[in-house]
Amino acid sequence: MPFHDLPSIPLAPAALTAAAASEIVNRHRAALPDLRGTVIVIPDLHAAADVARALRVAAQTPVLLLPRITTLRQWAGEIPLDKPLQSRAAREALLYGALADQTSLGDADRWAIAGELLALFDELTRHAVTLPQSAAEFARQLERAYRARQNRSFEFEAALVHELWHLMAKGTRELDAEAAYPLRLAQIAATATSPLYAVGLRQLAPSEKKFFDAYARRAPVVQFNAHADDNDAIGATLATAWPPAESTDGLLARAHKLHAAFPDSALAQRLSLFGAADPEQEARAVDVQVRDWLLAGKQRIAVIALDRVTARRARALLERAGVLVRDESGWPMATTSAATVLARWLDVVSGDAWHHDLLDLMKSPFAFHDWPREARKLAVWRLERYVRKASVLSGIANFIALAEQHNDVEVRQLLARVQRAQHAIPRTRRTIARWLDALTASLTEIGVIDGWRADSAGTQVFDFIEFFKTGLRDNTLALPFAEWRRWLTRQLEAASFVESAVTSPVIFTHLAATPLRSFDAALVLGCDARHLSSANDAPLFFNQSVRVQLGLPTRQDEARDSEALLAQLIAATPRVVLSWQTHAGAEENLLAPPIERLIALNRCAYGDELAETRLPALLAHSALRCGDTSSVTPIMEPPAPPAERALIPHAISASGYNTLIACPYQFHARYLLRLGQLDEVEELIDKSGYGRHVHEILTAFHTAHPRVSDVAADVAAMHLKAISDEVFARSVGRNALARAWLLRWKSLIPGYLEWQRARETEGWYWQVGEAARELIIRTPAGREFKLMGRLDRVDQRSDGAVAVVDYKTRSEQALRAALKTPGEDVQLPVYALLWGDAVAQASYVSMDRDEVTTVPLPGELDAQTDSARARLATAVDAMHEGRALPAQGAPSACAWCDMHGLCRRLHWP
Amino acid sequence: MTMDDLDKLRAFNPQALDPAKSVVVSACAGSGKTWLLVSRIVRALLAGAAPGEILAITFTRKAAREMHTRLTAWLKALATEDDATARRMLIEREVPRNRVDALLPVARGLYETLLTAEPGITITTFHSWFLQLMRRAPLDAGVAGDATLAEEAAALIDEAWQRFAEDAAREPGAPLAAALDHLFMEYGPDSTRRVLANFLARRGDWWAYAGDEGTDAAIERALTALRVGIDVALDDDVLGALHSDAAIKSQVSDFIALLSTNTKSDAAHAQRLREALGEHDAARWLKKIWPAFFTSEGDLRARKASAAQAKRLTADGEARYLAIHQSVGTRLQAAQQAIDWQRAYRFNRAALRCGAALAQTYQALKRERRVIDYTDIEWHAHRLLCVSEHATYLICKLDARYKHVLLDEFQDTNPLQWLTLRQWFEAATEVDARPSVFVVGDPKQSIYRFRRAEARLFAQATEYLRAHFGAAVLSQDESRRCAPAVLEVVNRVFADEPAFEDYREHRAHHAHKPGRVEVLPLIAKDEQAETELTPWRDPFVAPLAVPEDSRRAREAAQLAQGIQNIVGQWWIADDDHGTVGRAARHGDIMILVRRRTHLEIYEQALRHAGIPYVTSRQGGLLDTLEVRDLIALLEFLVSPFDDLKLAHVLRSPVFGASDADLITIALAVRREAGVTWWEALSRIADAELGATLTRARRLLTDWLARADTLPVHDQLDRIYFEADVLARYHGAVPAALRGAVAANLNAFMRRALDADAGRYLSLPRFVADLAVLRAAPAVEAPDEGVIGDAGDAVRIHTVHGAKGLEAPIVWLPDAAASERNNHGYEVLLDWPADAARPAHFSVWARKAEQTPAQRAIVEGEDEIAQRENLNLLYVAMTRARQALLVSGIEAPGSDRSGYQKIRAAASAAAAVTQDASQIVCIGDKFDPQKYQLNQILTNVEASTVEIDARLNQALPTGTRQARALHVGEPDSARAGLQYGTRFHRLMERLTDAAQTPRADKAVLQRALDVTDTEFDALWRDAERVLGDPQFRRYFDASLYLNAANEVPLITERGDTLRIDRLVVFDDAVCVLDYKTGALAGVAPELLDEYRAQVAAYCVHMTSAFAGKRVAGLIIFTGGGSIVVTV
Ligand code: SF4
Repeated sequence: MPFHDLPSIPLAPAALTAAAASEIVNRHRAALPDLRGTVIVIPDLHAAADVARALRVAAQTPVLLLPRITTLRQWAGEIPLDKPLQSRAAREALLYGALADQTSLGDADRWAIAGELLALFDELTRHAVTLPQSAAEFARQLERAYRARQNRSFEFEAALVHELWHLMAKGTRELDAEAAYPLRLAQIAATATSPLYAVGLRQLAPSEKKFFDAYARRAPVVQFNAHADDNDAIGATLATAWPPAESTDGLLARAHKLHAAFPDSALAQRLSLFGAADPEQEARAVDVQVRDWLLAGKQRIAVIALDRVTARRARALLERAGVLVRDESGWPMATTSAATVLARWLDVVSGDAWHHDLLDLMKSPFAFHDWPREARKLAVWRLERYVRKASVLSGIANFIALAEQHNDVEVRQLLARVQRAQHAIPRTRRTIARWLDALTASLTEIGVIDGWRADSAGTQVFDFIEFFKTGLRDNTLALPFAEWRRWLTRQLEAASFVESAVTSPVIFTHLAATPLRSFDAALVLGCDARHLSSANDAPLFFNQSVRVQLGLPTRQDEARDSEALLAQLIAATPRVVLSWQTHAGAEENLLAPPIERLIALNRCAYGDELAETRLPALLAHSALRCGDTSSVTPIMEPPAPPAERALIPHAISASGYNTLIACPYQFHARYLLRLGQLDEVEELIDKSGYGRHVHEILTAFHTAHPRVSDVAADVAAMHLKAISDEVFARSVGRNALARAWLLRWKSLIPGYLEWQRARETEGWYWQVGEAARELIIRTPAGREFKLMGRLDRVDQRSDGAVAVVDYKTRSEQALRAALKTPGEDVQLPVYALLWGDAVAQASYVSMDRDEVTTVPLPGELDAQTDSARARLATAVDAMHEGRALPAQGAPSACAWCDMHGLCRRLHWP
Repeated sequence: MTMDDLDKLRAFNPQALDPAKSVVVSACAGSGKTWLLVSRIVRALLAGAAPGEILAITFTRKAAREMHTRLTAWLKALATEDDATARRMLIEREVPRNRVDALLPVARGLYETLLTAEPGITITTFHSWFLQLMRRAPLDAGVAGDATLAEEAAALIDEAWQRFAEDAAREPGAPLAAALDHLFMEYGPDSTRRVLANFLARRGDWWAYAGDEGTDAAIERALTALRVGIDVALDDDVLGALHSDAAIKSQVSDFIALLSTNTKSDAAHAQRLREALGEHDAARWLKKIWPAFFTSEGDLRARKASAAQAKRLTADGEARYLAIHQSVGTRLQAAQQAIDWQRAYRFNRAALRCGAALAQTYQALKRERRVIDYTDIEWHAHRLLCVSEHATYLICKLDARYKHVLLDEFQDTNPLQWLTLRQWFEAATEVDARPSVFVVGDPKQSIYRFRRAEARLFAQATEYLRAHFGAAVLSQDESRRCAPAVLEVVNRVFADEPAFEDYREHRAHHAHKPGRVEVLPLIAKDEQAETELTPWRDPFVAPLAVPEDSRRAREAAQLAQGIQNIVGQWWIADDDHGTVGRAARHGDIMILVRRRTHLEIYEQALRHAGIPYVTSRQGGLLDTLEVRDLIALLEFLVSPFDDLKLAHVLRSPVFGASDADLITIALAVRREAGVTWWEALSRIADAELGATLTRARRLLTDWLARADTLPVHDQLDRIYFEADVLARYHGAVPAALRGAVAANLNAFMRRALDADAGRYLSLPRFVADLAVLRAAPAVEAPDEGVIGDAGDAVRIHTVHGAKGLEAPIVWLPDAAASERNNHGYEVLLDWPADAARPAHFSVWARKAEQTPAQRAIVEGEDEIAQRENLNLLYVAMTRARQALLVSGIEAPGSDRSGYQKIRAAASAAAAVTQDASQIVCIGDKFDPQKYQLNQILTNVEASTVEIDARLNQALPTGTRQARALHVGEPDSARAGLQYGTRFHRLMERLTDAAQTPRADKAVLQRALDVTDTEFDALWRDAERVLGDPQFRRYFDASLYLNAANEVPLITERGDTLRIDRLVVFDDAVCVLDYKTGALAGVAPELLDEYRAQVAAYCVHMTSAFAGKRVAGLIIFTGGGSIVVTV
């Protein structure tokens, strides 16, 4: 793209860098090997090394003192200014402040709007667009461009942009970087002495064009640009595929012309397209292709990562094979663990130390960096166990109390620091800089700052915070915590972290960083429509026709630019693979339009769709595996391990017995291996928690009133309610939702009391609650074991008969079904057995919804207890004799079993 | 096919595809709706529409993508194929023959037009289109921002629920708290949460119902509507009145006397009534007397006159007996009814208030987090278009100006979407030319009522478009998918179905496609085996056998057997006439179930038979065992004291520990009280550990050490690699599962990768998020991995999930299951199709408590629900291209099931009489002899690529600069490094001639961006160097020829180097190098390193400055210097 009347030398795109270099060297042969007197301007700094190499090759001297190789931005940035520069953050804060009082914006996200506005203003400055003096005139201008009639909303948009633009422009005391740019360029041009070469620049802003003109008045300026001539097959092919503007010829006609000029496809050996079935395959393709190239001796391999997520996967796969990757694009800072600890800390602050956040914070390697790593980890794990046991949800004081309860000095120390750090963060409005001061103070307290300093991403996050502290020192905008946090989050998300310590022939980079560089091979990853176009992120302000009207670049310009970048890459690289995913999940994917056209052209001209043929075979037949591919486990049949004698429990409970019946393997896991689900922090009290509370309440109540009929109805109800409140108090205090269960229970109280009275009418009186009992049982083989259980309640009749009662929150129907087949649910027979001879009745009490009903154990009680005892005794003998314990739960048992992972039921053949 | 049919067909396409006309098409399953819609887009483009002028909306992103791909492929063909082909394509799409030649060049250019268009074509879903509108909303609409779409709302809803409860608890006694207490007390926590969650899901409808009038007024309106038809005051004590009614009392006493002389059962009633007499509590009193009059179903007992009875009671007594029964019964019933209505009213009053408040909390929470969800998007779009200025703004602001709007799957639209669309049309009409509208859909396939789709909209929209757009209304009943045999049964099932009054007989496009329908006999109850289960079963020998499960297991075995008989035996037609074909593969078979409830049993049977299958279980990824294994592993890494998780991982194929291995650890745990499994495993002597546990211990130790430093994805990647996870699972799971397991393992890795790309992730957070997701409703949790073409497996779907899919062979198991009942605690909504907002909004807890106003709506709903059940059957049957197989088990209600309908239809078609124990079968036998082998498919390409064996080995490449610092090193080193860089920069500024004068310190400090103290130190050191007389000749411009800082050079090897300062004299060149610290403190090895480095620079300079003497000088910032010569 030649500009103005400056000398421009067209060069074949394939050799742009080399040709420009030799041209430059030729012009300065006399000065060799010292080219320091010249300047070469390139579009992207990443190409500087390539240009340097090309110069040395052209110069053929053992060493070359290099010219200044730079970009216009970089160069200008080195020029000092006589006015202070206003940081971007400060400008954004200024805009935010102006937007804060705009009530018409409603709930809109003002930080986002400020960010967009700033981007727009920078664009306007860059393209030297000035807005009319009058807001009304600007509104008219916009409406014309929108092809709209007068409209309140358009007027609002226009007024807002107009007002703030002028507000920002008025701040003459300081300059912003974009406004300073032309000034700095002018300064360079004004003192120009060195010859200047511009290589491969695209899309210059007005100020840049002006700069070259001014420079040329003082020193020679030459530009080199890619331009396909008639003999350049690859250049011509790409130009045919992506013709400039409105080319009149159709695709077929162009293809035929191309074929006539070049009978062989210039792309055939150079470029291929690989369609992967899914992301994993695409990542593997990158991995295998890169290593295949390395094995073929290629020295400079680029992966143009349009799809960053899959690129990350590919990078991990390459690292498996020991291939390090130099990643030039970096990662959003917000994805680093250094930033995570920061976010988690703010969660702890704003969420009153919610247990998940607190533990997560303390598990971070950055926290408490002054502690030995292992000691910190052990302390946190201890804390986690206390928290789970006690179900403490939040509140740092509660956690500290917990540590004290356990006499755990270390944990207490850590928590005390968290508490002190919490105090370092105030709850008032303050300026961003002061917020940041408070933040660093608090992070110092919990050792995070030290942790950061020892880590490269951590250092970048730290520097980043310090950078803002300086840049915003003079800003007076006072924000509440939440808004400041939004600000910080946005900054962290916009910043990126680049790890620069790797040197490797394999480079992951982005498309804009490729021009003028020479690679032996390149793979463009993610050539689908989503990744190779920006169609989805429409700017908040204006639309394309307004942008045209204002003289701002449009999406069409962006598309053209990425075509130009692709064209340069393809022309300059001897081997290019384009990869994409044909499917995204279950959805078909679309190939990026420029690639579509290129492939279609080649097909029309040469009958070849350029499908990659080698890679699929490589993928099918290669699998890098770890050195450790030790014997593979065979398919797991349903397990049935023989009972290990040393592990057989000496005591079996009613529920253990039930488990044995439901599934012997589950019994094995639970009672021989003694495995069980750890406590989880109970955030919402659940049905089993409810059950526990109710048991406690009733035992307390009946201990006070063994004969409810002796107490006046309202007194009994009142007392029961009071006990209920007391028992529930802790749960309710911890979580408002526990109240739901309390109310649920309270609404059952009348029904319960009625049931109780009816029972007393039948002659049954409460005798004891929560009674733990044991019974030694002798087996047929003469062994002894203990049967044990805790009986919810035992009632007695005046004739001495006893009834065993168990409270259940299940429905009557479900309980009846459970008791239908004798021997399946043995809880009641076992309880009867445990109590002894006088038991005349055993029953569940269903307390479901608002009914309380008795569900008696059907059948002959004595026979049932005998069978229960006999079967268990036989089973215990069998286990001692090494009987296998098969996994064979019925679906209903498996649904509630935690041992899936051990029995592997879902993977049985 | 009659001549009439043919004529219709000929007339159909030209009309439907005319881009100038608005058209509504009702098209049957498999009729090629996508073909039609995309063809219409082609015609619009041919007629000169720019891609940006076309808006096509369909229901899923998948369908949108498919359309876009198809459009691109067609246009590509038009652009690149020969003239004849291109012409044929135009003619097929009904371009008038006389226009074909003229349009050919246009057609050929469309491909590139589409690809380069700016703005491009919009083929999208309602949600993404609405989102697009929202993102471009005018600023004064107050929705601007970069809120992200929360696709997983479960965690947020939990949080909102929690907050809402806390808010309510903060003000006990306030109306909100009272309302919530009422719900908790009367309905319990679970049902309360259920009704409020349902409210939340319909909050968009609630807002629409409320309009601008505010919550309180809206609740009042809703409650007023509920009172219609209720003749009881809401605060009447109905029960009390009844209880204290003397007349009733005396009637009951009378009744007791009569009952006791009547039958035995009446005497029992009398006894209970007597007990009730003294009851003071009205509610308990009613409960006690109720059974004397009513059955347990709630019906009035049948008490009739009889001679015997008259004898017992006397004639007069019998008359009184009947009269009292009737009169008291009616009174009680009326009272009960009144009580239920009062309850319903109070329920609504409380639930609507709580619902509205919960919704508010939820919205506030999302605002705080800057996320939005689908309901918000729909609602915002609708609201935007309500304000005419905003609507106009939007239409102008979008870069695209739609002239053609195409709507696919219209039967799945919900009222709010249609309303919003109509608003759009109206606004567009005001500023622009109104678009042509093309609607295609099939009311018979409306099965998404649970997602608020409203089937009745189809008729309404048809009317609207006919009236306002002059739309032609067409129907298409020709299936390109199903074989005639399948269609014959479909026709017989639905033609006479009263609920399908609009059904038109389907025709097969491919009249000769072979097809078959098989209805297998129901699996009957095995009476003997099922009646008595063994009491006191021996647990080691006999597992519990639940009868229903075993029946289902038999059906599942039959399914597996059936599939084995099909694969390799049946022939699948590859062309439309069935002359070219191939043997059936697993991938040709699709199993469709209504519900997933019993899926596991079917899957088990398939595994047992070695039949590979994939279940596209929505939200199922996290429930698969392989993924749970990995989650258990991660959980262990986060909390290593979790013994069960460790045991789980050890048993998984990752390690493959045997039961004996676990016993080894358990024994070790037993030896040392209080240790965890991991501690025990770590301490067991090497000799005692087998290979498996040794390996596990080694790997787990490594992973634990890295658990807090590696990002989640990287950690998982190491695990996969170092434990050889994929290969080990491949070996350890049944062949039938291999494909699915590998896909799920990859999907889980992808999940970690995506999560990692998100913000602020740590392993504990990842694990906690997964736990929330696992508990979330299925729609939100991640789906199982999709298997690419590679997996030849039977596919299992629900009918809902099979929309848009098809298969040569479809099997409907469990087809005789009865339909599910409504659970209650739901929102009841009446939104008339053409209304701007709902006419009714309420909630109901149980059927008995519905008010008359609700009943009327519920009846309509029931009708729709029934119709939808039939729709489901229709959708299921029409997925089959060639064969449809149906099976089921005998169950209550199975006589009204889809199974019976299909069976009856097939029997009629086969002209056989029903014999329930026989298979009914019509159609082709798929005899292999009849078909010709499809050559193309059997040609397996041999690979000729040579594979370098080194590809399977590590290939160490690249270096990581031994970073000066690692975690744990002293801070001073890091600080030193930074100091050095800054010192260089300061020196550069201070000594560069091109830079402006020694500027003021403030400027310099700003440029270096350092604190005061640091700057002071830097400044001091710089002054010392610059002030040192022995260095003067290197910094005083009058003493040298030229000098430059940071001089870049490139060597022969291509290395680029940078010299801190290069000073050129007449006869000599000096290379300066700055180092931090004082010379005195530098270690000798380091000093040698420095010397060598500077010496190398000097060598390079010797070649660059031929003839001049070259020397090096190392200057230490803290004092001291060394001269280097070569
Ligand atoms: S999941 Fe089922 S089979 Fe496995 S241990 Fe539990 S109950 Fe037994």
